[in-house]
Amino acid sequence: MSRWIQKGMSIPYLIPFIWFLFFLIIPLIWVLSYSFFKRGPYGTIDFEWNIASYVRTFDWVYLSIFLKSVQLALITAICSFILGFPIALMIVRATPKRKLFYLILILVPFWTNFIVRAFAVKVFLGDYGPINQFLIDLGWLSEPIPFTHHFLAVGFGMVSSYLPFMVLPLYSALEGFDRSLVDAARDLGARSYDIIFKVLLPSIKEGIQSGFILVFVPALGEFVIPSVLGGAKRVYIGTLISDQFLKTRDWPFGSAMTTLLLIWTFVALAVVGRMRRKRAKL
Amino acid sequence: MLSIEKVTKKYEEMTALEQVSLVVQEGEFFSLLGPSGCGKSTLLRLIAGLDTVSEGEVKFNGESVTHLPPETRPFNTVFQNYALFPHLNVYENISFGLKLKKVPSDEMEARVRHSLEKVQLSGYEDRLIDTLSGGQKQRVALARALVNRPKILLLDEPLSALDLKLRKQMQTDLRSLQQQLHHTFIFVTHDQEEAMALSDRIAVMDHGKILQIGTPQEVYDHPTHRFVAEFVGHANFFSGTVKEVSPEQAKIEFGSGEIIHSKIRRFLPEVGQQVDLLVRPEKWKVFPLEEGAHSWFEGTIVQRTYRGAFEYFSVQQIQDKNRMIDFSLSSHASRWSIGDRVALTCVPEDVVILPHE
Ligand SMILES: Nc1ncnc2c1ncn2[C@@H]1O[C@H](COP(=O)(O)OP(=O)(O)O)[C@@H](O)[C@H]1O
Ligand SMILES: [Mg+2]
Repeated sequence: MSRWIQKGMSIPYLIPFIWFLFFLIIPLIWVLSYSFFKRGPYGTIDFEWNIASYVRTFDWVYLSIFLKSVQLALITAICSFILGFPIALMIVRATPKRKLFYLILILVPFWTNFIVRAFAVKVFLGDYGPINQFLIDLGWLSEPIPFTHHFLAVGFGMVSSYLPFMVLPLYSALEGFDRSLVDAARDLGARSYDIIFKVLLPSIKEGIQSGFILVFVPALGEFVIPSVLGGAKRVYIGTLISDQFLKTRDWPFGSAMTTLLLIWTFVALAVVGRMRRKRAKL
Repeated sequence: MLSIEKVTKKYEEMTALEQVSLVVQEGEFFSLLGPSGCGKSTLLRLIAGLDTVSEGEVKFNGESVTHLPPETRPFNTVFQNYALFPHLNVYENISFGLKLKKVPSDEMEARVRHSLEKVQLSGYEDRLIDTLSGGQKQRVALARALVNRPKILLLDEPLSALDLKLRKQMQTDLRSLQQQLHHTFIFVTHDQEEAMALSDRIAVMDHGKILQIGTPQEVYDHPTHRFVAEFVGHANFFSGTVKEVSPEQAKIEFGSGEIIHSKIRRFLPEVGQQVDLLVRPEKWKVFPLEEGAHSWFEGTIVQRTYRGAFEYFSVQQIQDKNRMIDFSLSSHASRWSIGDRVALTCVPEDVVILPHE
């Protein structure tokens, strides 16, 4: 211990280390070892070494759930980008006082509990919610649209929850964007389209990547929003895993899926990171 | 030929340019010279089309381009901070404009290579911008503009971020490039020496106005404003009163009853008017002070500054101890030292009459 301190490893550096150890590394090792055990009768655990849970994950039922989850996470990330980019642009262009106001507004969702938020979206889109009632009052609808339990509801809930994770990195990338590049591009003959696609977006590529990762990764494992807004029929990987722990009590299977999800996420991140480094070396 | 006609540019409440007019001839190296904030970049941006004028006209070869967007104007700019695209390599930066104009790829490649040769950066095609030095970035920016064969090249303080040695080198390169290509260059700088060394003509600006346009020599020898005189070099001023005016000469009294007859050039003074008289430090004739000898000013040398080829001396006047007069001599001819008492005179032709400020 004293030697560590001499080497510059002081107490403040140890705190995050201890944090990671107890809240990340040990639970992960736990999950990893559980995934190689077996579910006993009545949801207990048989400490018997085997890979049955992993074999089960390759069942088409589960694979299709995984693919659907990737699809949902991708759609969430793409919609968040399409919505978030103009928002980020507007914030960057605002006067300093407005800017602060907008940023606080963007962060408002973080102040409320995420379960409450999912239920709020449910009410908002529900049969008696403002959207349906408004359309009925206008006479455009006779029956409310059953948004809830529809894919649209899940998508709406996901995007509204994850939007800030997209807007903030985009905002900070745009803040660092050198506006004289726009002048340079115009001077060389670029019109709006070229400026956006050949100068602006490529220059903030890293911000876009960060935004995608920050939205895509947690969206992939999200289970509250799909279960509140999607109903029992729309099962995603996050719901599936949480069910293994809370309802079905098949901890080994839940652990196996968690492990695979983690591995795939790391692979995806590694690919993105490699692409970045390759470009930087050129 | 580019002509700017009574151009005014207002930003909300502040006026960045006021009634600016000038004509730049084809093949000319024209400089906009003035202190920071005087409106040089604004004027350049109006020519490029990156900003729109509030009033007035910009004409190229007799046709108004005032309301044309920048992509349709045959001009290109080298920006003050280079504004190179950081996500593109050198080749992609330089070919950016050609690609937008859909120049065929073999022609594009040839033109990019050629312009890289022109700025001595052959072999740098694949380098990322971050890996270049300031001077190299500067030259990439130059190549990126030149490769489009602009009718006018606009340069906004392109050398001000470089260190002295590199700047001198780039000045020479820039001038020879311009003479080689016979391009029209409009060059913005706040460095009078740079403007003098490079330009065919200079427009001296202050507070959004052009004060004088002329060759470097005209601007230096016959400034029309006290500001111009001070901005383009070392200057001594003293005030005088106009006694008589003939079509060619003005009789002016100054100092302790001294009278000179000075040639009238641009500024026509009126009898009784108070004027400023300008003498450049190198124009003084300096003698040892002798009793009874005739001179304009007399004093003691209190400071001596060595500046390479020239030496500068500050003389404290005997009659008025608060007034200093500076003179300069080429260093090898200099024979004065601090404490020497000297008398100064000057030929009347070397005195410039300016309106009193
Ligand atoms: N976009 C703008 N908005 C408001 N004022 C501006 C803008 N651009 C320039 N100015 C003002 O116009 C004046 C001239 O600026 P500029 O042309 O950049 O000067 P220079 O290039 O000679 O240093 C300055 O006072 C500057 O603050
Ligand atoms: Mg400027």
